[in-house]
Amino acid sequence: MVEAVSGILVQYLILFAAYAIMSLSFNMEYGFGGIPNFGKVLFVGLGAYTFGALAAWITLGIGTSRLGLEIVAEDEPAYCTGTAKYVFSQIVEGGVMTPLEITGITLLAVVAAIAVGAVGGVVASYPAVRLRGDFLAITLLAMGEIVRLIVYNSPWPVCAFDGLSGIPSPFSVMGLEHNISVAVVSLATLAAVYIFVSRATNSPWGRALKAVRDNEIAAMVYGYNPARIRLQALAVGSGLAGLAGALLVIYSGNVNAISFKPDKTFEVIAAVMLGGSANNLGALLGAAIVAGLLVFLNVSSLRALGIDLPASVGQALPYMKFTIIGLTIILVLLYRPQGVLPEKPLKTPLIEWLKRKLGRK
Amino acid sequence: MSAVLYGVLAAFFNGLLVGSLYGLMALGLTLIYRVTKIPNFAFAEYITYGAYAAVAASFVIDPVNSAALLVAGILFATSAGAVIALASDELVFKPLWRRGSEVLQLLVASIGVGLVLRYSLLGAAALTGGKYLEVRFPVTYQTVFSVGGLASITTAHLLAITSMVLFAIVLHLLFTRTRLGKAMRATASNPTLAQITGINVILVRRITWLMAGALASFAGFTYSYYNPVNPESGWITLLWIFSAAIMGGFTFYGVLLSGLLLGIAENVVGFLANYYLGIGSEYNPVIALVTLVTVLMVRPEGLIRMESLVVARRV
Repeated sequence: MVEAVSGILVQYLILFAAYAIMSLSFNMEYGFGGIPNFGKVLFVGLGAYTFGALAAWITLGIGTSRLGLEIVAEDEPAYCTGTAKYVFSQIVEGGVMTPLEITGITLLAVVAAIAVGAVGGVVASYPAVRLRGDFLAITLLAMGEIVRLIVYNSPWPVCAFDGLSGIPSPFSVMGLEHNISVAVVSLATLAAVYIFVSRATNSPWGRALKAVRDNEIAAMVYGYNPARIRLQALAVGSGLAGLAGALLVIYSGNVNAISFKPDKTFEVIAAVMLGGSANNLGALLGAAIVAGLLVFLNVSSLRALGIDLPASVGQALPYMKFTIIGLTIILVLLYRPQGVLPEKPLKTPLIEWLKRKLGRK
Repeated sequence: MSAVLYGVLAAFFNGLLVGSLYGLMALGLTLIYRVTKIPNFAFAEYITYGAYAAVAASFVIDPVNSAALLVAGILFATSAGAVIALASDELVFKPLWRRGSEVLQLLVASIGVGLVLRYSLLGAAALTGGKYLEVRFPVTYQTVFSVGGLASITTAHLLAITSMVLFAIVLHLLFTRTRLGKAMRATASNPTLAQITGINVILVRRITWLMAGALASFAGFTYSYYNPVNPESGWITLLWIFSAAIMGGFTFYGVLLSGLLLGIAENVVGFLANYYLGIGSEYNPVIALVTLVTVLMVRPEGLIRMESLVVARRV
């Protein structure tokens, strides 16, 4: 009982960290920059595909040569074959690769995931400087679906609809408990991302981003280039999304394009709207609630907590989660459009000084 | 005739059917967009609910009498769709619009409405043991004529094409030739001014949503008449519908032609790609999506605009 509950709690922390990173990046683009990046899942996916394919490819290469095997694969990557699964399991058992090697490979793949995500963001800035509002949102959503459909149906890069599975966990190779280690690493990553994003949005660059959102012409008058700022926001935000994707793959060891449907973007939108647009703490809060919904509204989680559901309710539960997310979006928009934690005015030294000078508190 | 030609002809006939469905569906979306400026993602759900309501009609009417069943299916579908569309406006979109929400917020709200409707239906289908996770209207279509037994025109073709053309003409005439259409256009361009001149803006809005919902669910009925429908059918079609609407520049005749073109392109290009390159039909949606992105990038005001969106001189 206690073990099961703590297991769910660890799972929750990992999902919270991943959703918080996605929400922070969406908040930076949409909340602070006014760019409706409704293709968020595209960049999360890009990170996941890159991380999965690269990590699997390198580990498999080293693993096969050390085990003296040879993999013949036609029309699909070698890491999709059954032999690859065997090699991966041997690596997890230990002795094939040193912990240092697997750490290096993982870090390399994470960096690649961030880089590919960021490049994707630069590509996405092409429509972002040409379109506004709803049309931009639809374009980015459609771009995400194009990539997902292609990845889901083609053996490259992640084994089509079977998905790439069994990527060896670096923590298992090191002899650590997988889930707990992932939770610690994800939370540490989240802390770093949070500090980075809050510093970035509070910097002169962040104020320029807000200026472009509120009044593009005024921002141009002050010498800012809106196209350039949008590109930077999308590149950084998508890089962070790629990082979140890589974290999800490290956790599950699997990549399947089916999990990168637009619904994931909607979850992130719900989190940011609920927590509070243009408020980084709000993004964290929203992610905490949405991740809670996703983890705890599960038949297995509820059973572990001692709640047994009738079979038919259990079957409807995965769908009801999204009904609740949809309802959340509607209710927040209707009754608290600024979110639980609304946007706060920036406190720069100059504003504080002016307030004191003018005698206003 | 060679096998390729047969294949292309069959694909063309199928594209005609699918394309007129896309056009039919996009008409309602266009109506909502023209009057209320909402890019309504929940529109897909009105289609699905319409199809389910049509199937529900078969529980009430004896399926032996197929003519009565068809009429009942249409009535059930259109009334269900109209009510759901009106309810979604009254409960969600109108309050937001009153407060002066941006288009983007309305878009997000419509995504929320869509999630609620779609997943409630999925949840309900799962609760009842999954029997209704896929339904089909009990009356099936008949072949009217066929070429070599492969490529055929069916009653589903006739229904979809006739209704699409008919509704497009009716909507166009409504917009350009009647007082109601004029009121709709006035409401769209400046609600405050429209209200001052004595137009009942709220009533116009209600009529718009009722009509659009009925149109969507009629399309849903047509869909269930030739194809099994599941709770996600509308959502899967939505990107095609948006592609058609945007390609047609949100004009009724433009949307009609775009829908047809997209449907034919999906089937014919898909068939040729499969025949010559071995690319499976699962890539077909990419055609719609690439069209959507390209049109938005190159000509966001639409590719095939069959009317200039300026005030007509008459009435």
